[in-house]
Amino acid sequence: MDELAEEDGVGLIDLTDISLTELQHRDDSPFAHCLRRVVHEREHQDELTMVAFESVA
Amino acid sequence: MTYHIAHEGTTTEAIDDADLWSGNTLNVPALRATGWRPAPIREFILKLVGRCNLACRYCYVYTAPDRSWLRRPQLMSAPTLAAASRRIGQHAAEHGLRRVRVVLHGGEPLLAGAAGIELAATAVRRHVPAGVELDLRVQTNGVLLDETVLRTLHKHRIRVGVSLDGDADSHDRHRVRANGRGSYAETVRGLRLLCRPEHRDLFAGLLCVVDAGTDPLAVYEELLAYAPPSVDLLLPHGNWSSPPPGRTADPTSTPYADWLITVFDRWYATSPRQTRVVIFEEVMNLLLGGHSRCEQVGLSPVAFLVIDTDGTLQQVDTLKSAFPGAPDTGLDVFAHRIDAALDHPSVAARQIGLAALGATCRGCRIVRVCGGGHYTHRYRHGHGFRQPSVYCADLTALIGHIRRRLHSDLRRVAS
Repeated sequence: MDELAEEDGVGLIDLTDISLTELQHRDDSPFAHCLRRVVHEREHQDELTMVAFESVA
Repeated sequence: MTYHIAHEGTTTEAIDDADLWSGNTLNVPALRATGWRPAPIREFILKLVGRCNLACRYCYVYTAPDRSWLRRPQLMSAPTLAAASRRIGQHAAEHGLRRVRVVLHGGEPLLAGAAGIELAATAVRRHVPAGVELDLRVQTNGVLLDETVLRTLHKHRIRVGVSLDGDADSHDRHRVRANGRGSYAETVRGLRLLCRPEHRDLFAGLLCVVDAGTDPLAVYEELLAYAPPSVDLLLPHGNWSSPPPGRTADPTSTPYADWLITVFDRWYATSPRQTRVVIFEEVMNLLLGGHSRCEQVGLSPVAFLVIDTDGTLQQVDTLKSAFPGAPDTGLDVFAHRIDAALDHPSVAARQIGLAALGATCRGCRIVRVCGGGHYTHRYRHGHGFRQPSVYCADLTALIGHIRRRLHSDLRRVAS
């Protein structure tokens, strides 16, 4: 957790050494949904090369 | 300045800024010479109808500097529909796409009636190759949703997005008939019909344009009342030369961030999650190193294109809020393949992420999260689109707030 403790409040959050896989199952909150998505994206890196903006329609 | 261009894959290529831009125009051959290749178009916004039964005060089609709608057909004709559908199918086949989204749009697409929707859906289905998943949608103000239309939408599995700006007072501030009468009651009648159990599986979500002068929680609670699968909170379109309402040059004033933060705190604190709020989820994902699918934030490539009622290929029509002709590509479905649009400098500029941004944005520490904001909001007359967003102060405040909440929770649960 040192990375989180030392952050200065701007830019990306450093998740080095944080086990998101454990954290994501805690509940059904927006926070947990967010962690699940991050874990999913990390586990499907090949598909991520295809992520693009969609219209808002 | 030298920087890296993101390719669709993971490769990057260093290129000098001066080689890539001639004034405000991207040099696409120079870009291609680096090895960069465009991302294929995966979403087509089909302007089925060129007119609307509402006269929303913030509309980027009918109240914008661009008046091109006056010379375009009111309805997309059957030959244009067929040509557009052939091009979509051709593009999907040539690029080996597994999935294509087609959004029936307007104006108000339901002015085409059930028969018009039927015609469009049939044409598209006929030309999209077997094996390509077709995600058909319609974006409507909801006023004309009835059982007849819904039967057609069910038949073709067309999912429905509805524009609702919150409670009656908030919605009727802007979303009005030509005579000024509010449309809330008519929209809600259609929305309630869509929300009935027999139709609910068609409900894709709500679009809501933010008015910083409204009560954010009253707006959000009204949206939640329909249990939407997702909510898109959109910043009203404007730019440095024509700023959005209430967006002054004072960087300490953040009316849109203040509004969104109030909703964020309500949404984020509620478990289980009641709905997806797209901009919040995309910012959170970006803060944790992920990618965005929402053009309001992030640096992902734009992979959608507009086909207007006359068959012309257009960039996103929110650009009409910048200057007349801003979305034009000079291409159409009769004479050109979709691929031709990918070499248009303005289309390519929206696929190269960081390299399309000006120096101020490229040097900013939150640029990978905000992505310079919505492309349309960066415009300044005489300077083009390589500017920070007119919403820069709001985006910075919103992202900072979300970051603090996320960071705090990560520390709490991981300790």
